Amino acid sequence: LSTEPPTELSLRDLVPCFEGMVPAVIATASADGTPNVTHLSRVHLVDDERVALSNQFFSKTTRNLVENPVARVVVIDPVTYASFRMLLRYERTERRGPLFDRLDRDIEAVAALIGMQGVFKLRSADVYRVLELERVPAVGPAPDEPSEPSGRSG
Amino acid sequence: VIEATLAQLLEMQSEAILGTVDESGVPDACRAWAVRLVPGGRIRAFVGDEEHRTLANLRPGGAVALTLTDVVTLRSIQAKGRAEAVEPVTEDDLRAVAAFTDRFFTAVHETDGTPVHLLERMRPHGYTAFVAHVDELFDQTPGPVAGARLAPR
Repeated sequence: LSTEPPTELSLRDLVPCFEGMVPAVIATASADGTPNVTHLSRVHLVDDERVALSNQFFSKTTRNLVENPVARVVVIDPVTYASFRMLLRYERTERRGPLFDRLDRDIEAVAALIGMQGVFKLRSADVYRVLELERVPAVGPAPDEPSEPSGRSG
Repeated sequence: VIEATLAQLLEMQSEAILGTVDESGVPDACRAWAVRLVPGGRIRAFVGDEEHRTLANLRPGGAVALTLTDVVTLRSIQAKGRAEAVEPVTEDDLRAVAAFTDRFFTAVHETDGTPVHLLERMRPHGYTAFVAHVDELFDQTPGPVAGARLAPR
């Protein structure tokens, strides 16, 4: 048996998951404990401990996060189709600056892909700290996939 | 109205995602693998055996949100309700899961070209069933009307 400690999983290991190739899933809950689950076109990597989500409409997800600032997000690696689950806590909102501009450009690109230009307008870039990061169990490793780390971030 | 809308939806379903919440208000998200309509405005759906947090959240009375999406059109509907029971799967359940999963993987493959052998990585080792009563339906199709109530009106 190996005596090496398990490799810590970090957000940097998940860079392909943040390219917007495969939609993510986000679950939130209202103050009264009612969950909401929907897709996200993209989760954006901010730094080693944070991700950003675009806020385009005053959606149920947004309302829930105002009431209860934690979310569970599932992202998928488009190369290996490995899934990863994060527990996020809301940290701050940005309405201008480089991060906002990056998300704004991305929204326009996604809208163009689905023929909905002009429909999606970025209200803010919301930044979340990643409290937990885990791999979702799957049937088996994909060819050429690195060994499976597991751990916690942030 | 809810049963009729759900029945229509299950005709076109190709992806299902599930949201639950624990007693301290922390949400969880996972995939669901097939949804079957049960008399009395109920659904019987399936999650991977290894979704321990979700399965714990599916305690009787636990709130659930289940979004079904047509992978091709992105039409999506979210059902909200309460869990009633967690049960072992039957042979009929497993046939429904297999058919649902094949349909989902085929739709994704035909839509964006993802090889099916990669999609197979998402298939769980085993499944657990849960029954939930559906109280509300919402249009979850991407866009400004996402979240609009469909039933009850």
